Amino acid sequence: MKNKTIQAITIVLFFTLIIVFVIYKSGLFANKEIVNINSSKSLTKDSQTDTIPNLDSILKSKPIISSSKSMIILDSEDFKAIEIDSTMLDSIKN
Amino acid sequence: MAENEIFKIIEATVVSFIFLIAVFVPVEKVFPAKKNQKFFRSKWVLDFCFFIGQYLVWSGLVLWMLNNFGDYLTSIIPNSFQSKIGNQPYFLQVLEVLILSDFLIYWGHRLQHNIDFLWRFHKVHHSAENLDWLAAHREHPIDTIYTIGLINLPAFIMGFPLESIAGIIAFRGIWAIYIHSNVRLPLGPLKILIGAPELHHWHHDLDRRAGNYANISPIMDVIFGTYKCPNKEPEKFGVSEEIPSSYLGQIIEPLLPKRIWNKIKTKAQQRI
Repeated sequence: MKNKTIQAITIVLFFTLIIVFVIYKSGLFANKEIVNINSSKSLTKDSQTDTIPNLDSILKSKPIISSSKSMIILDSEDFKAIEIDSTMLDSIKN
Repeated sequence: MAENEIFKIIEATVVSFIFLIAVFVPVEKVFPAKKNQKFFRSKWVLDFCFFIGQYLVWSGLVLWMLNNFGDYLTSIIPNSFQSKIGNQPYFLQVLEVLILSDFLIYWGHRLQHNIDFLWRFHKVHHSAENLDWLAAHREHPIDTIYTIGLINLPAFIMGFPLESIAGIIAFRGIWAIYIHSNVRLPLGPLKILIGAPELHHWHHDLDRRAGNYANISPIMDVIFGTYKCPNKEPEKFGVSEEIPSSYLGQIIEPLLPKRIWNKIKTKAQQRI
């Protein structure tokens, strides 16, 4: 009986944490917008035609849960950092 | 990089580590696949080095390469093609992205096991003799770039906004760690839709071509005849060939021609 209870609690805890994580990464907490590297690229395409994302800003990105079996999503803050760096590079080039 | 930013990356790594412990350790304790396996099992430190390396060093490099790869693809794919794809119903686009990436990752992964050049990087991941959530992080960075490149390829080509399926992607990422964990928790009929440790453990069997190459859903394995699910755990995990035991050795060895690596190894042994 005790074992069954522990098993049930463990399963509930496991799936709860996974669901919370998925919801968090969906950006539903604090209405946080999430963008991926691909869409961020298309967003910058029109306004900045020859920008090069700076390695520094990408190195600053902090993906929670790093898994090669997952597609890549960055938080909007990381995307903003990439944009700022690109703009700075443009200014330097000009 | 400013001190503050380095601190933030370290903080995110620590948070991720604690979160993963909270998710996986209880379920590994209560439903163990290998009952005698301890938390600090052999090669724990090696896998921890891979974890730290992946979070602190390689993930930034991988993202940078992926971004450049995506830029290059966008420049060669006609806008008219992407707008045709974009005009399809949304659910159809989601299905296409998921099925195509599963298809690519299945064949890409199968090639990693069949082509020697790809295997030399991928065998690092398979060298783990104890599987758990931490061992999932044992991966050569070149192997990571290859896998992430393939899995993102359909979205890049289609110009699909991945942020709209962020939840599915997050689930994929954490589930990919779960299937490596030391857990035996049969999913019943669901196991044909979602991969489970009981399937992926067989993929880590000593046999290099053991099957179960699919990413999350085993459907590709069923379709292409590589599905394998005996009703027990494999006796041993790992690879049958020799592989360096240190972190640096496992990172450097695949990058060098065998002849040069053997010379380095012989010199190192002579010093000892």
